[in-house]
Amino acid sequence: MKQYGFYIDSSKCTGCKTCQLSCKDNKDLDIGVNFRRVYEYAGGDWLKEGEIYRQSVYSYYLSIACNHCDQPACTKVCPSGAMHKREDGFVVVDEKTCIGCKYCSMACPYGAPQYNEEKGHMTKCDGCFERVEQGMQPVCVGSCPLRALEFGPIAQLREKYGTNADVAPLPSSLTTKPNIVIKQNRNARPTDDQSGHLANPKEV
Amino acid sequence: MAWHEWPLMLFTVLAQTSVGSFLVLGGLLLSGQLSLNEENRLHKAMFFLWALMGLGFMASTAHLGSPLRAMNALNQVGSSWLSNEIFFGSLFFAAGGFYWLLSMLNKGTPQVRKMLLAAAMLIGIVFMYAMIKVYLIDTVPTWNNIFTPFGFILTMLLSGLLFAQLLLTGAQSKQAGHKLLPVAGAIAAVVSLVVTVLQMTDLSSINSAVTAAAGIIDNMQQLQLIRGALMLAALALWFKPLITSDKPTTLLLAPAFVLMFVSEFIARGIFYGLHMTTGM
Ligand code: SF4
Ligand code: SF4
Ligand code: SF4
Repeated sequence: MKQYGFYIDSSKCTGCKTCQLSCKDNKDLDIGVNFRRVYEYAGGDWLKEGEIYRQSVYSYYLSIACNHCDQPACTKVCPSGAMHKREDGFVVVDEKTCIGCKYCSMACPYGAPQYNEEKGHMTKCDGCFERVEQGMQPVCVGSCPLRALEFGPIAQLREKYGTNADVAPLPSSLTTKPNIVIKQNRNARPTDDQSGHLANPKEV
Repeated sequence: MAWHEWPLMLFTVLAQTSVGSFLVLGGLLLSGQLSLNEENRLHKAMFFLWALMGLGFMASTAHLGSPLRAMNALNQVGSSWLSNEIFFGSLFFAAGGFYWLLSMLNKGTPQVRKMLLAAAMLIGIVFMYAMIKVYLIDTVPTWNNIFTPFGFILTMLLSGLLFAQLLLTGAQSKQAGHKLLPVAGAIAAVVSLVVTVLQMTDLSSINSAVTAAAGIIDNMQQLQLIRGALMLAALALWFKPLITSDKPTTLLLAPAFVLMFVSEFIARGIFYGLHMTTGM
């Protein structure tokens, strides 16, 4: 079976949100609906070393859309079947079937399903499958000025970059088996970390 | 607190109240302890049970962004517990309602009606099971635990038993004064209080990297106090006839039920308000 995925280089990402906005522009999304979201995870403290204090402040960014998971939490709960995994591996909402129960967004631990109040149903990153079918790259990936995003068959990405998909504030990758590979920032904290917080809750 | 989830709060509490009381009244009707006249009066009173259930279903559609497509909710029967819940809920409504209609019109043999009643009771139990399973989502740690079935079943007992007794009283049944109902209600209330304390303690152990369960609802203590006070007030009214050895009256039990219902409604609001995922 075919399966595409994203490579996310958190060591390069500066949190500029060009990906988030280029997607919004391309998909014509309203305020509050973000198919790709850039999470800023931040923390740190004062450390006493002898007579001096040093700070250990850190923050890093993670650009997350939908991970088109192998075991999607969203499709498992959807009562209408609108949220489904396609032959090509993309997890897509059939907007003509969705009843707008928001159950998928309650279940997805990545915040990917985005409810559209006006349409009365769920919307979500579709992996730009129409572009991919024509051999093009997803809009978000092509727009990144830091070249921190890559897209392709997940097997190839894993061969190139390894298999890590765990970092705070993401949940453990064992639950939904997301098709992403993450290169960690030097400040990266593990998945179950409690030392930091989400620094930009209103932006995601 | 999740007031915006009022459609789901209403739907779940109303459904649990209806099924809980239906199981009690159905058991009583099957046991043959009621005279024919009592049965007739009880059937009339059971109109209110179906009114509550109907109201619940109406409220549930208000939760949908596209209510006109509500039928699609049945597409995944078998694989999605939400589909299963709607399926068995509708089936309960249909089977129970059909039994009620036959009884009201005095159609069908008593055997057929009893079979239908028993079937509706069974379906009601499956409906309640499905409703619990809907919320046991492995990515939602604040729901995916033992407190969800406890909370839901306790609503069936607290609100359901009280409503059953209210209907029995309205139907002037001899069983209306039965001690068992308020005593079971009191036991349920004690269990409910203990479970609430345990759950509130347990919240401190549920964290994601960006959400601490214990901090999601900031006026939690107030809400729990109001909820507990309402429950105890309802219980006091419910128990008064037992203490004064009077017959319970609808004038007493109706306000008791309203208090109990609001208490469970607030508890359900807390439940929905506690939603979080293992991620962000
Ligand atoms: S990221 Fe969320 S919405 Fe996307 S496939 Fe995985 S569980 Fe479903
Ligand atoms: S909101 Fe739509 S896609 Fe999501 S679970 Fe409900 S019916 Fe499925
Ligand atoms: S793949 Fe397409 S839809 Fe998904 S986040 Fe990128 S631009 Fe948006």
